[in-house]
Amino acid sequence: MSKDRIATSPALLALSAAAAALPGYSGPAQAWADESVEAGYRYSHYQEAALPASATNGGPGERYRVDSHQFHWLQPQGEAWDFKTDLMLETMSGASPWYVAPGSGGQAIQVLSGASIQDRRAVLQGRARQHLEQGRRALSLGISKEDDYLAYSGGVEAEWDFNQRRNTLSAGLGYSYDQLKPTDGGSARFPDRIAKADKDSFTAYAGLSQVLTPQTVAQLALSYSYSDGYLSDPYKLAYVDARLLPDNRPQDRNQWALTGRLRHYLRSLQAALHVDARYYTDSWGLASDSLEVAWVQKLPADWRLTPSLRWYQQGHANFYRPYYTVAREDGYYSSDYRLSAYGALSGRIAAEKSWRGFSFAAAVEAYESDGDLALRAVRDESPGLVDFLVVSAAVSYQWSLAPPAPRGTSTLQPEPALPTPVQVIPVTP
Amino acid sequence: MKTKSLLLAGALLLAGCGLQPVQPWQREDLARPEMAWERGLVEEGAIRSHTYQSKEAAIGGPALGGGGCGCN
Repeated sequence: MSKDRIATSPALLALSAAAAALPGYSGPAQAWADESVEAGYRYSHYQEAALPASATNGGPGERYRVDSHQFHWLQPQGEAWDFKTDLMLETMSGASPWYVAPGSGGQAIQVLSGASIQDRRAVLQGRARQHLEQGRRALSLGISKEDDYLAYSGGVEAEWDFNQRRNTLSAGLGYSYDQLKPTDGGSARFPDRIAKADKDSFTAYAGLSQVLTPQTVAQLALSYSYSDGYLSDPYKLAYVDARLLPDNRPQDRNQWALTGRLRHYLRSLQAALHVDARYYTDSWGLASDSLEVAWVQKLPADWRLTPSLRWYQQGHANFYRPYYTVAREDGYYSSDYRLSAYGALSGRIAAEKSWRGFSFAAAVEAYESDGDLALRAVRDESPGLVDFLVVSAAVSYQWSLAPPAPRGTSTLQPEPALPTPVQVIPVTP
Repeated sequence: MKTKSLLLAGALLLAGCGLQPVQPWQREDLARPEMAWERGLVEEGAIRSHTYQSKEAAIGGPALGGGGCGCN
């Protein structure tokens, strides 16, 4: 197919534009023949709920809060390329779970870090993407920096459309090198805390999407991740037979996830139903399930309202205990609540409004975790399970670049009556 | 659970193979912004994934994540 071929029929133009903007292409900004620059900003405030006094060592139980600022820029270049840059700046503060000790009645008591943690995080990520006749391919690079943490990451991704664009095959390979230099590591105050450590992480995924009906599309994806190196938490301790030992986890981890996603449009209601499900398992003996259902309701005056509900559950890692009454033969100890069995439920509502080239959005999400929210009975539930609230607001602005003049042909403009976005794009002979 | 998930996912895709092929002129609804895999402005999906991954044990999905974090 030659890129110089131009669709001349208005109907064909409209259909081509619709096909090019299929969900498998991950959103309107990614339809090939992009002509819009997009700039955006998002602010998010994350606040963890205080732990109840009965679950802590008598302190106020105040926990973590994070303020995030995200800056986003998408720049198309020519007919086939676009470049995306994302910068995120975060400030984190508050107390974090330190270790769990048995109370007088044997109940697990969460001890929080005494001093308030203050940290900053900056993440810069870039992506160059090329749009091809039958798909897209992209290269991503990123750096993440905290006071005590540095990570470099990179990856390649590709999508291939086939079967007259009823199917899209997607795949990606990623690598991350993470280096830790914990605060006060190896100091006289914390002699058991490591001074420096690192890890390597490899990720691969493959997915297939299928258009099922004119209103339904589904996707199935399998992902695998292998991590090697220091995978423990240098700031956490484990209570082992009346001693406090450093958190110590295996040096490698294999993780698999099977994800299914479904999108269905209800024309009579002008709404879309989103269902996302995932099954996860890893080499630490931990398995989890998650299910999210969202309802994207289009409203008059370019408003959109999206309520959603997410349920999550996980089992515990095979070496996890809130505290240990006897030493383990393998020497692995972790009382991190993130390796405990539990269930979680979160509700979210988001509103979005488009006005000329601007889009405005606001969202609030409440997340609650509890052993009772898991389907399976939870034993040894961590007293440090987290509940949190996230509020966020975002604004973005899109403006069009002049379309490039087709090579060797006259320039054809779509007729005004056609649905937007309509672009002059190549078609298969 | 794993077996059930695999069977369900396989049945879903196989069902697609047995349906009438959707033609290009029938894809107007599929192309609507409400149908995008990732919804939300300014990498909303990325920060939501980051939040869940820093508080839960599970990771993974049909996308590459960014750099790691020393999340507490």
